[in-house]
Amino acid sequence: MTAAPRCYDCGQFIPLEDWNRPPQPCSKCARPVEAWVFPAAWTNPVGLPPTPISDENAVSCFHHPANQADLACSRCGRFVCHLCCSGTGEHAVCNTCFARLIADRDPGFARRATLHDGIGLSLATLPALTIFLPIFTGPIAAVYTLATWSRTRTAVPRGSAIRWLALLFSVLGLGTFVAFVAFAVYRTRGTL
Amino acid sequence: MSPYRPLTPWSPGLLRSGALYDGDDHLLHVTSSRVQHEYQRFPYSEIRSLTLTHLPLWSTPRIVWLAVSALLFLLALVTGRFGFTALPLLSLLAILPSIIRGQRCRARLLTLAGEWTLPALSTKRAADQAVPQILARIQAAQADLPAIPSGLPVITPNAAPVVASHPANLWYALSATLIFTALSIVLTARFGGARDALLTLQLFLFPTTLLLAIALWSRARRYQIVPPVLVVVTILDVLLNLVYIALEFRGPTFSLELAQLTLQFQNWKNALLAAAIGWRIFAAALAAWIGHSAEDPA
Repeated sequence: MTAAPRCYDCGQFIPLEDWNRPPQPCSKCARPVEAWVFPAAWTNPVGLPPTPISDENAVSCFHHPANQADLACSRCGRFVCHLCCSGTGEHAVCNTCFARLIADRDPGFARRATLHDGIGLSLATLPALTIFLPIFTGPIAAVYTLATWSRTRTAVPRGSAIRWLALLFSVLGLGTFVAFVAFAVYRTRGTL
Repeated sequence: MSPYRPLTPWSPGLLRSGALYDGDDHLLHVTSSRVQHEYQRFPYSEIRSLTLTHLPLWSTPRIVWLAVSALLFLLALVTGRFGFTALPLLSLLAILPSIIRGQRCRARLLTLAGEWTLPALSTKRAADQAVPQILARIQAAQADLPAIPSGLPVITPNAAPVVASHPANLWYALSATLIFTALSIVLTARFGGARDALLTLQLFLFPTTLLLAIALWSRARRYQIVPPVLVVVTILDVLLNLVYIALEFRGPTFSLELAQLTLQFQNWKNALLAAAIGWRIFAAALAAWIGHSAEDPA
């Protein structure tokens, strides 16, 4: 993999003399480009082999007894080499704990989160484009919003405004449904 | 209590929006599709470079978009058919938020794992707000690493540039074409009498599609075949519809109603319109199929 920064627009590499400077015109498309390059660009810890144990008193990796342990998992405390850990610093965890955190949908490690309040709001509002569909989706949206009221767990702060909006529009949809049923019953009785 | 602190406001978007958050030791990029959040975490200690490409506020597509809208307004004034004003107004409303957001930019982040685009940093305003904080965090996290050598022989731009490609954008554009086409046909079938609005839709849609195709042609270098096909198809489409429009304006009475269209093929102008609509469906389906098959499987 190449490690040099490139212009977003044309894919041209940014020359060395333009790194870490104010915006410079790209040599190909002439758009102003700023490129900040950091020391990690020429260090490659991923490619480093693990350190073999040379001292009897050294702690070995839990999974690789021949390798020296580099850190302790912040969750289970096992000593592991850098091949067996994910994350950095205080948040480094061994691969077993990492897999468990992913499976448990821990907000700090999750790759995605379902927005039940957003689904509820979509159910309550989008069918309104079809005029008649909210009669049926309104009750569904109301039930869904209430059933999943506190189930949205996101990694980042999320207010409750969308949840309340979903409930408001769901109740409106539900009201439409009730009015429709009442009207249908009234018409049926009138006919009979 | 969330450990994340917002760095940028949510970037507005109809279907997708994004935001950047600061974690203890990593940068969090959140993409929201209204029903789901997707998270990407970039440890500050592993970020190799951050590139910001500044884009002009008044790009060619925007200028053409505004020009077409102005032209349609003019058409409404000249002909006195005020149905023409509906779509230009809608188009102006659609483009106004992006103009208000100001100058745009594109950010690209290079880490040990690969190269990533940050849609949350799509405006200069957001970049001015977030980039200094991100730079400070990265520099603090990498303070222990050796400083940049002056000659820097390790990383040199000697490899061939990887050409930019935007298969996802292309796919969205083609889907939009298909949806607009379907919309115009549905409107034709439902409101056969509202000729002004339909004609406006057609007049507005074709130059926009053509412009989009040309713009994508210049960008999607990897999938060479897709945009030329789209351009040829659209040009033929435009020509066919121009012939139709010329005939339409010459004739005193003519209905666009699809029900009549299917029943009264004895009128050769109706047949021409049917051919135009048929061609449009075929072209959009073809373009969508090519766009879909051209998506990068990686």
